[in-house]
Amino acid sequence: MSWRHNPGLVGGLIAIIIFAALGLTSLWWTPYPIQAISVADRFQPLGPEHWLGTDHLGRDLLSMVMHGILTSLLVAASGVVIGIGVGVPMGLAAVAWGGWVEWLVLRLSDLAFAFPALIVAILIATLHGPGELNAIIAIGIFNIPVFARVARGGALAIATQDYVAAARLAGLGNAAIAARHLLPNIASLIIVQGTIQLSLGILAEAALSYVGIGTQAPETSLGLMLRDVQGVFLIHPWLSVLPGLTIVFLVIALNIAGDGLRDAIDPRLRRQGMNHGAG
Amino acid sequence: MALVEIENLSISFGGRPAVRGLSLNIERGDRFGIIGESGSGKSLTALAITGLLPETAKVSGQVRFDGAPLPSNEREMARLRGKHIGMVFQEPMTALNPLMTIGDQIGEAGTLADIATDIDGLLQEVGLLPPHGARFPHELSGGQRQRAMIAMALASQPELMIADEPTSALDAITQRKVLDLIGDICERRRMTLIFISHDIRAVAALCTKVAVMRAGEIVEQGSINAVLQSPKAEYTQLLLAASRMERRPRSAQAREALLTVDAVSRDYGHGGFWLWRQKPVRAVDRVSFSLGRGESVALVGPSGCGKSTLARMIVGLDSATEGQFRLDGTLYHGRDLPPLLRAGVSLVFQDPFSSFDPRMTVGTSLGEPLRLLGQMTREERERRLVEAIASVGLDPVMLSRYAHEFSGGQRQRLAIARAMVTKPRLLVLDEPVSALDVSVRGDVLNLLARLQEEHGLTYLIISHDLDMVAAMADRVLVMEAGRIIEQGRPNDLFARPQHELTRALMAARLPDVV
Amino acid sequence: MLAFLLRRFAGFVLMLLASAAVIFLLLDLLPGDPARFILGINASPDAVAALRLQMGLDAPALERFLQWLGGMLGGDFGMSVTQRLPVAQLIVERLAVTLPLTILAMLISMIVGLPLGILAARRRGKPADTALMVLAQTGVAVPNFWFGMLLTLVFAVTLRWLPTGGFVPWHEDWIGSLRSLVLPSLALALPQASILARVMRTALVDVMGQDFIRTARAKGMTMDEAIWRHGVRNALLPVLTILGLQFAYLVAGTIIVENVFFLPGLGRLIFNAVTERDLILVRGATMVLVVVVTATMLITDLTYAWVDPRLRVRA
Repeated sequence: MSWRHNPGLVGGLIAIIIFAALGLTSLWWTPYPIQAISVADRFQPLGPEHWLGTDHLGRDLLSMVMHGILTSLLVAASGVVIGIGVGVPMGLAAVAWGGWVEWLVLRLSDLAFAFPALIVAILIATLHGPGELNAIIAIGIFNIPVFARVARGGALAIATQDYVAAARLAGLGNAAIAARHLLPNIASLIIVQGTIQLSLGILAEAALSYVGIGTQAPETSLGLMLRDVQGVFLIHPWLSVLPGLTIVFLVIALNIAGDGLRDAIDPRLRRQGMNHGAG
Repeated sequence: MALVEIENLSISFGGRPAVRGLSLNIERGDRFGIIGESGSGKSLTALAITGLLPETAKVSGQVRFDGAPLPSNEREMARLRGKHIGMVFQEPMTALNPLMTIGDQIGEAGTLADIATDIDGLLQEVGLLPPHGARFPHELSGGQRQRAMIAMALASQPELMIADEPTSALDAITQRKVLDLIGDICERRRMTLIFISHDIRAVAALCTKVAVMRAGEIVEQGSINAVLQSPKAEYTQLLLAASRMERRPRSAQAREALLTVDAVSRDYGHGGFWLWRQKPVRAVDRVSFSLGRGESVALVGPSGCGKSTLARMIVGLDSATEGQFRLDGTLYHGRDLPPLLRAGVSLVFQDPFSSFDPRMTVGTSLGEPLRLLGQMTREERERRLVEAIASVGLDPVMLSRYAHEFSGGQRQRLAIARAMVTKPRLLVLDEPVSALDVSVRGDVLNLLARLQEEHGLTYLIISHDLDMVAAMADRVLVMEAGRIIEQGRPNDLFARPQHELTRALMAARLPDVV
Repeated sequence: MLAFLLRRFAGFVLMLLASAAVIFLLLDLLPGDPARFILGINASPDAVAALRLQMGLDAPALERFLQWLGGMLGGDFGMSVTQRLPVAQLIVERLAVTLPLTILAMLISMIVGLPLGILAARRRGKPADTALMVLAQTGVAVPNFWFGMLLTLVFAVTLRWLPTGGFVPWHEDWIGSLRSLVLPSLALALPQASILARVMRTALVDVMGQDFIRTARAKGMTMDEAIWRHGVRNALLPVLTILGLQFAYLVAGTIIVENVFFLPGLGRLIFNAVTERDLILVRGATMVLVVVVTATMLITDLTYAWVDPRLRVRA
């Protein structure tokens, strides 16, 4: 695989690294503390003092965006980790064991599909109040059936291959087959789906925080920034344009990298053009 | 004037040539065979004649149909195809639109050529019945689908029919019937035929002229008799040699039984909840036979007759619903085959391309069955692997490579090496050469014969290829609908087939080339 | 066919039962004493006891669950604690905004997304395809509620063509109602249309590589004719599955976008109920959402079986 043949993957990855670096930096350093409210400094324009200006409470927007990126990435990534951690073993088990295990996995993932992230978030927020953890769990639960289905679909195709039968002949049990043969061969599928779910997770985090059941002050996230400016953005559009655009760029970078990754991995696409070349 | 003239045709994909400087003349009334292995460029040549090459193909040279160069305008080219050329493809399931009835698809072909189509008449001409027209492709058998494809190709009353491996997805009996049908139709309609195949005997049975292709070039062409009786190109000679199977001399003596199959049945429940549970399907029905030590027994029968299910139970991939097996005195039902006995039974799969995990080195794959023998030192393990790979005539350095680096023939040798690594006594061979190019089949069969000699192996060969069976087996079991209906020594059985199916299988055999 | 319908419907009912059990478990059993949970720690014991009586909390859990289910079957979703109105009435009022908005957005996204996807597939690799896919790539990345904010800025504040928010009830002035739904439905439709265009393109490109398209061309069709007559219908099969999922996402999206435009839909009702810990109202509203999502999946499945003869027979 040549990097030069896949500008999408390279460009997307570079953009993601820059975003991640900005976010991580906010852990140690931001131009201003993000909670520093200073009414005197509110609605500052872009300038040397505040590179991206200030909001209606006088907080430095660059600092908030940096920290918001971190929150968005962390929440979305945790959701993906939950989804992969629970969903992939479910999908693999369904294929390796079959029978009632498969039935149970399919019904469970149907059940989870019936609860969009928003509904889960609403239920949890009702019980425990809003918060970042709330968003992580909601997005994680939403991701579980997605990964379970991707893992099962991929593993089903692998399971019909003769080398899986050969492994059974060699005395490998279901778990060993899932770990040695199924998982390595669907890993690429999982990674590609992971980037997709990561970008969906960022959008979901933004939406949950925007309606007030996700991240809460004094923390900040890109969605919460949009919620905060709800009352003033008609007069000060920049306050909504900045966090919104950041989300858009972040998601585009992830999607482009994901598409590039898929093109790099999916041999079906790589071979395109030679489809009718057989014979 | 020739109907199709190809002059200096070259096709390449991204700089890689697939067809090089090919020239051909196909006269009206010819039945022209193009022979070659996969990747030889034979299908691309056919697609070039019909203007159906993928957009990514770079083409040079000229193709003339009925004296005129092929139109460059897409619509004109499409109408030319529709009116004058009928095409039949290899895989009739995917070549038909799954959402449309057969009748509609045939009618559409006629409409496109501005011909009032007699759909029922066409269906009858290809051996189907009028009610078949109202069915969807998935409701027909493979042979019926291919007949429907032929009816569709005939709907426009074309002058030229191009059949691209039309029978290689079908079982032996259907294959012969479809070949005969194509021959009859060409005769009756005085249609020119281009027949593309890897099977030299199918071409010999059907065609009057032949071109032999290899690696994008024609190595030899001429009338079928001239080419087959005095082949000039070395490659043609190789193909001809490979199509003849030598019977291996084998001693027939009574042997002590290694494996006994005792009234084994296998039922499959067909999905659904308990309320909607359908009647189970019996794939294998009270089968009994035994294999003697060192014997070579073939199990033949049409696809779906249960021979693969039986093989899967014997090696322990599936369990019998009723009945039992006895291997070396130990009873088992299938999956309960104990590890140490498992080491004594191996399976070689049909498709060498799917029998190796692409993410594992060949060495790791080959070593997998060794776990059946319990703990083993590194050196012992290494020694076993080297021994196994050397026994199939490959170099031990290949152990550290990945399967995709090998050709089909080499992979099948590696698969045999994996089967041999536990030093088994019984090898179950599931169509061991049918996925391989004709030219390497002989080598693999020779290897199997040598291994049997050296290690005193017992073979159970699953196949539908009667010639291979006649060459390899001491005894043949014929299976139909889950039962063994006839058995005997190959010569006796094939000379005097008793059962209808055996007779049909014999009748479907294509005549020998020379 | 009948067996298939029965089986699908039985699955649907089972799924609803399981969902109801999950919601009941979360909102009725986990809080310990729901009455105290609703009223807060500072409530007087008398008030808690009164609410317990009103909610019938002294009955065993299973009985309460069955009562709740039975009530819902008869259209009784209980009384909202904070609004002191029947939950069913509240939800029906709000659905009059949410449902038309969702359907409108769905229609727009299909009318825009599907043809563009087909166009891109036919022009695969050409500038039109590239341009469309860049657009779609952007559209997928735009949060619908933020797009709503931008639309308000441009069309309501700057151009003054449409209202910035609020809702005129249908029976007063249905044209006015529609006008207030234009911007929200556009905001919802943009990302969905982008997804649809991408899915449609992928599905059609996939189908274009299949053997039966080659057969159609061999019969005398040009690539375009083959795509129209054989490709699109086959490509719509995978799109159908996505459409079903999208409707579920759209319902969720609607609830969020309502906030931007101050629409009195289900979303505002639910979020108020969340902050005010109105368990009964949240329970009823989430159940309604789950029914909508599950029913959409059922309808998708049935449509699929209706379009694809292969499924019809196997059933």
